Amino acid sequence: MSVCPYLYVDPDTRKYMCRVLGREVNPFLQPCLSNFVECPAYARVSKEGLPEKVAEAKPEEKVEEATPRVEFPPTSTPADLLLRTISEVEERIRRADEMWRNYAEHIVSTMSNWLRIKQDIERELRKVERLLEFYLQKLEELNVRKTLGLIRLPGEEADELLRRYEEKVSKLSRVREDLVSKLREIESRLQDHRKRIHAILLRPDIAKFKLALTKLEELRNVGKVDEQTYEKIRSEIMYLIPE
Amino acid sequence: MSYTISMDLIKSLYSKYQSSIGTLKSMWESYCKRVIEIASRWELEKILFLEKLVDLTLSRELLEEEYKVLTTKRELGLVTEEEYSKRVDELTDAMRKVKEEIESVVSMIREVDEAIKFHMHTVYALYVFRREDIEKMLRTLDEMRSAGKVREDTYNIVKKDLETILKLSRE
Repeated sequence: MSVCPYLYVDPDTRKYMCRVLGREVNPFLQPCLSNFVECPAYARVSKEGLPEKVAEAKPEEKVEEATPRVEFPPTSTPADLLLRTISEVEERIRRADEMWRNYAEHIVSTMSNWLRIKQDIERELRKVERLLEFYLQKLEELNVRKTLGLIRLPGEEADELLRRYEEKVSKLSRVREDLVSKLREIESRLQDHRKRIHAILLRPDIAKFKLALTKLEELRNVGKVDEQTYEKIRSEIMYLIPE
Repeated sequence: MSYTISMDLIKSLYSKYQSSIGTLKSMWESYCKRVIEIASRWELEKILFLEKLVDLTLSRELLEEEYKVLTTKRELGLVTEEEYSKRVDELTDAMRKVKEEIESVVSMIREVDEAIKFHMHTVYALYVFRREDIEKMLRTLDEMRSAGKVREDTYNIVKKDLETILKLSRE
């Protein structure tokens, strides 16, 4: 391995330092441990020599020497440097693992909450749709009776009733639109996260879900499960199996 | 001695019946107006009963669906016995309550509806509309249906009403 002659470890701070730049460097991101000759700082010093400040600071060093001598503290060898850097990388990997675990746990908990909320939304949607259908029918009936002259409500009351029905229809339509749009939006936003964590976290359970899916098909085929129940359970299982 | 009924007596009796008939007419008109008033209010407030019924019916359907899903999940091994038993108890209790509420609301609607319809149809037939009015309404309703201006369920509800009034109306 080639080591830049200007690299050293500060004995007090234990940081990697560049004698040319006069500051801390990361030898694994910069070319100090490989093709350091391409390093602009090294190239400059090779041509011009070390800056005066550096030269003054270390008067005993002869920067003009063709092969400058690197002064490592007695215990620091290139292998030590590498080991230290490996520890750093290990620490970074450990942090990444922890972040991934936190992320995955967060998504699993969000998905579990969402499944419950989604069921509530779907229930509410059915109620809204049922009521909407009911009020549309009442609105039409009232209009027909009004056209025929069969309604005996005084004019104002009949109009008030019509207005109430129309308001109800408009409000229910708005609620339905909002619920459907929110449902789609959240589903779409969760989709990428689901795919990401399914591939890793749910792997042990996939076999269990696939078996349940096969059994479900059998139950439907022998008529033990009606279509509605089949679809409901199937969509729940499919939600848990990666695509 | 011959017995004669005095003209005064006749006039007096006639006057008494005229007054009684007047009272009956006035009572009939008050009755008709009152029926129309109650029926109008019922028309406005019945919607609350019906909305409640729609809500309860849907709740019952959802509970029944959940029961079926839960039973199937148990068979598939997706829920534990403990989870299954606990939820089944809750569902059974909720279904019983909803069923009772539905029966109660249906019975209330039917009771008020039938009582009001009886009076309303009588009033429509004998006080508000003439027979030809009702026949004309039936024709118009059929035309609306042919032109696709009214749905089948609405058509049937209104037609049934008109036919009942027609039966009660005078020739």
